[in-house]
Amino acid sequence: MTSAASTFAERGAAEVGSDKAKAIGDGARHLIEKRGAALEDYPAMDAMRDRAREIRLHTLANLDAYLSRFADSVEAAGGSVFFAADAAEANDYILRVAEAGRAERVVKSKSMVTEEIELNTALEADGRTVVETDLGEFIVQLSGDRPSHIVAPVLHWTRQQVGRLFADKLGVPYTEEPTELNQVARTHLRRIFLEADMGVSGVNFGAASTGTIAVVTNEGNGRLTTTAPRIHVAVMGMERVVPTLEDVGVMLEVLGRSATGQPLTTYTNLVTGPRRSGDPDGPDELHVVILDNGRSAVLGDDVSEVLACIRCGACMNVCPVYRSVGGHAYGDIYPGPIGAVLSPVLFGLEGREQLPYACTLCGACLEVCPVRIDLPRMLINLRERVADDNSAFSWLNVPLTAYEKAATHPVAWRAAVGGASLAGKARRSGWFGRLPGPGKAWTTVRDLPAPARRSFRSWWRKHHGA
Amino acid sequence: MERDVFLSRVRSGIGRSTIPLAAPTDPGPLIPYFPSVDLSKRFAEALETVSGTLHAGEGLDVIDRIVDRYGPGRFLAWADGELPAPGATQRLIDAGCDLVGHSVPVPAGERLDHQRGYFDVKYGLTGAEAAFAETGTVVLRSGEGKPRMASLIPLIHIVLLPADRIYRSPMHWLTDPESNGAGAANVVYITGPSRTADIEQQINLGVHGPREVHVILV
Repeated sequence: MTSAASTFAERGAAEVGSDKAKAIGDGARHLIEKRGAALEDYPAMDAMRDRAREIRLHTLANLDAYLSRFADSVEAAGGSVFFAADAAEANDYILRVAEAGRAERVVKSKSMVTEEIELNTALEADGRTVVETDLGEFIVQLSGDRPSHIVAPVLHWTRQQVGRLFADKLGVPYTEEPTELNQVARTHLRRIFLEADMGVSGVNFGAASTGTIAVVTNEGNGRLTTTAPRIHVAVMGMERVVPTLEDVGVMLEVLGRSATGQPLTTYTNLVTGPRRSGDPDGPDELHVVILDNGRSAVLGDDVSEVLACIRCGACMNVCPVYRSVGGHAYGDIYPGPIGAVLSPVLFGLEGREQLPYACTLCGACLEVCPVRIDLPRMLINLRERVADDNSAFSWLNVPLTAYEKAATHPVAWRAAVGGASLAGKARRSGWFGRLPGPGKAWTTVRDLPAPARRSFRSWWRKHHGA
Repeated sequence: MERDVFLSRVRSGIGRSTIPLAAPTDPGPLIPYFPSVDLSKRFAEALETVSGTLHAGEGLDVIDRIVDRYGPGRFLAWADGELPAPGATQRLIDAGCDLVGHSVPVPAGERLDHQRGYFDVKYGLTGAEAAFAETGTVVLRSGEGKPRMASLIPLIHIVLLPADRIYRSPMHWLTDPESNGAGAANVVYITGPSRTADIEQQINLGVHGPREVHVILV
């Protein structure tokens, strides 16, 4: 989590129109098109989304009971469970596990929750090496950059940039051919996997009845991370539990299709405990860290549904704001519409007051969400909180009071509407491309619809008599 | 944090102290609807879509052709007794490939040396206990004589699949009482070769796992 000193508007203004923002926008569009294509072959999608939503909301309403059952099941399968109130407790436990297991070399598969707790920083400060193994996250780590998308972290990188990075940091000859870059990463990371002492993964879903955790990846790095090292640590946001393995199955029906248009992610890894007696390989120890970090405080309020999120990224892929400003403008690890709700709710509204306004309320995110989270409504709820909390918004009272007066007094309204209709130039096209004064900031990156040629009042008078 | 303290915070977040666990009244279908098709034909199409290859009606001769094409190399395999066609391992050996021993648990102290030996494994030979027609997926379960590494580390994964193990979809398998998806330390759905689209959204195969997946119907 980062909380930058600048505002969303400042960061967004710097990104809009850049090559980076365009690349992210194109990538997001591509992903949402693939989702659309996948749904054509899957007539059950709407029904499965309804069921997925029911499962998530039912679990959240009974989360204490399901977490307790989940922990019992993990322990019955031979795993250990640690309940972490916050990032510090989670990191502290993982460092103790590493110390006890003499784990110097750590590999990680891609996981948003370990980014949330900044586990890499904690491991490195403790003198351990940690290597991200998802190709995108590997590029991010090697370059010191930040992910711009929760599913595709380096949407904003070009092949030439990756080629230069690998030549510079890995000492290989420059190439910009993705196939060769891919081979470089495979060869480099292979030895690191096979020699690692500890593997850290996230958890897509946990099944309470069996203690099974599901970890999905396309590259296979999730499987290597949870198979090759002696110790497997799985970090799970506490909301990721569902009642049964069948329920995990329902979630998988909607996850891959929503994220990348894949009916199933390439590797869906179901892990139930550490390796069993007679198993030729697999980790000797499994530790599941269940993380609160602000989540329990959200459970009872008017945005609690945000915890039903399964991190597919479809909302950002379809969002006109995300596609214009890219992921970094949001300032935290969770970008897009889900980030605009989740980050203020988990990490605090202070310094994030603009995020609920990073939205046109077009509703596209609700349309594609696999569990039908009403993000637009939650963004409005958060706007109310911002307005209630923040005296900086008191300036709005002046124009709103003026509007209230004008709208409730016919004479004043006619005068105001008449003024607006004076704007003659944009009349023909129907749009203002560029406006001076208060309209300037808006029209720099967007067009503004011109007022109608004739006001509704005058149209009504003509057709219905006054 | 103690479990009880953690859970009581969760409870007070939810805003109640008792635990009603009634399932939702109308949760919708558990098994998705699909129009009816021929299962093995649909499986072949779906596998091809994810860049895998299905070999039907040729038996184990396929193994010779694969090795002819890519040359002999080191290989990992499930124990003979765990493979649905026991002659398969010998086929690879006869074709000039070297079997890397792995079917017994490795003693704790020797794990690292052992795993370093996997670096250049070319072939992996495994069975599969189920397949999903809609997605082109094979399902592998860990256990005695069934190393996970055999499907994970090689460049080319050869899967022997009994034809009568094809299910319509993941949910059809999961809801079959015999599937027992949590009955092993690891159950994995493998849907084609390892892939990434991280660099400019261009699909690349074999980034960490196998670059090719050959499913042989037996």
